[in-house]
Amino acid sequence: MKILFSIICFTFNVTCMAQSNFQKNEFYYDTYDNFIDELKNKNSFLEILGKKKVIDIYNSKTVFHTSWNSGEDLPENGIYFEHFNIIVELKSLKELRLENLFVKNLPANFINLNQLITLELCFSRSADVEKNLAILKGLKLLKYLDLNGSRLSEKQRDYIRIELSKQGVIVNDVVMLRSN
Amino acid sequence: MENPSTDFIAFKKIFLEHDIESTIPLELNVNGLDPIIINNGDFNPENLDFTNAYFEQLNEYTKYYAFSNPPIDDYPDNHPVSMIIKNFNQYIYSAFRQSNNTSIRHLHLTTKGLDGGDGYRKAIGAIGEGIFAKRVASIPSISMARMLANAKMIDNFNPTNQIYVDLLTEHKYTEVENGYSFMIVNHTDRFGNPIAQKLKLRRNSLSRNMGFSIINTGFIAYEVKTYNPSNTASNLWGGFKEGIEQTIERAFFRNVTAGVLVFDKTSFTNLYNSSYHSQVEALLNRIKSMRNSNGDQAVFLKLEENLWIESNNAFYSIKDKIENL
Repeated sequence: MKILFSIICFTFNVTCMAQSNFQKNEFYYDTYDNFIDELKNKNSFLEILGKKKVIDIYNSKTVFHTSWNSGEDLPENGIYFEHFNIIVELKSLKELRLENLFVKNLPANFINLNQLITLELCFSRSADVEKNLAILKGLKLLKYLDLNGSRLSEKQRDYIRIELSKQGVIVNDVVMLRSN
Repeated sequence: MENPSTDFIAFKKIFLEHDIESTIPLELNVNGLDPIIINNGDFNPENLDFTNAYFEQLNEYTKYYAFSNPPIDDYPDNHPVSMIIKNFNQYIYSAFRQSNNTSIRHLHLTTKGLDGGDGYRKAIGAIGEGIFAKRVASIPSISMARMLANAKMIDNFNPTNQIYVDLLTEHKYTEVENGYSFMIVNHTDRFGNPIAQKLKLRRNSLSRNMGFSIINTGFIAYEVKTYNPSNTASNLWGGFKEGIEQTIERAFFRNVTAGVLVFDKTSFTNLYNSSYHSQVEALLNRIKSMRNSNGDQAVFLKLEENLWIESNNAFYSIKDKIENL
């Protein structure tokens, strides 16, 4: 009887958690291909994503980084994320993760995401470090930046980490390409 | 620096007069700054904002471009030799580009017999890394999110603690037990029979919550040793022992789940059947007993068929293409 009661309680809890999670529009997780499909109808897309606080979009293919010195801007199977025009409209966003999706330059209005606490993205090799850093510094609530998988040189990454750590941002870049 | 504007004009003039297609590095010595060398074909002086620049800004720019350049002693990307190797096999090109003991230029000299004697051995090492990377990349994997050739890992508890890895693969697995995912490592036994081993993967700083599930991230560090099977047993033993030691160091690094030594199968068989048999056995038993913090084996051996033969063939194919350039 006790076991049956526990199972019922557990089921009830999970159901409540699921409902509260989706009612609060806290989470969005999808492949980049599906994301592009949904973009075809921008209005409804904004209706769906407008109140999301966490967005996680991932490149479903394995990316292969050739060495940093081989000069490619993107790794094999790497994709540029080119839909910041949609993302910057999601003002209540607290967490944005673009897994294995590459960014050359963040748009100037990325700074509008002033609720953003966690950010994951990959910078391409030709990313303008100074410009991107200036935008990242403008995100006053940013606490955690994941740059693993970026095609930046070690010195560029050190520079970003040192500059952002002055603002209390934790920069996670334990895995990087070796550069001379 | 007496007059920043004077130096700045001189600086701009040198940039604008330099042929960016040239393969000759441009060395700049501006008063008050460290000498910088521009040898990157992609460098575009138009990116510099000369109109509004001032000395501090110039200083930042020079830092930026100086650390964006490839090493001075190697050919640039648009050099004919670089382009031929890149077209031949981009994985091999990548391995040469980042090698710490050879380079595209060194390979070119090797094909002309001007390398000083050690060029072939080093070239085979780099080509072997490229061929193994290509083999791994050609096997579709759902769990593998990322592969990095010539990666660097930093211990985020102690940033001065770093390792360099020939090939690093990053895997993501959904958590199936409280606090653990299970990760598969493909390796071989001492006879080359494939084995898929399941290792525990703990939550770490890269774990993340995906709605109701948790995704854990693990890394496999590969160390590639491409030895000619015709080498003496003593040479093979030296290479094998060194490879195992390097793999152990990588396998027990923070956030790395497993270290795998990649060795040519025929070379290993020759070594195993030589007078070093008992020493090889002892070393293999030692790595089998080395456990990580989850109680799993952390160091593995992966014997690759024809790794040396393919590397040797690739070397001579490249040689035919570039020796007369």
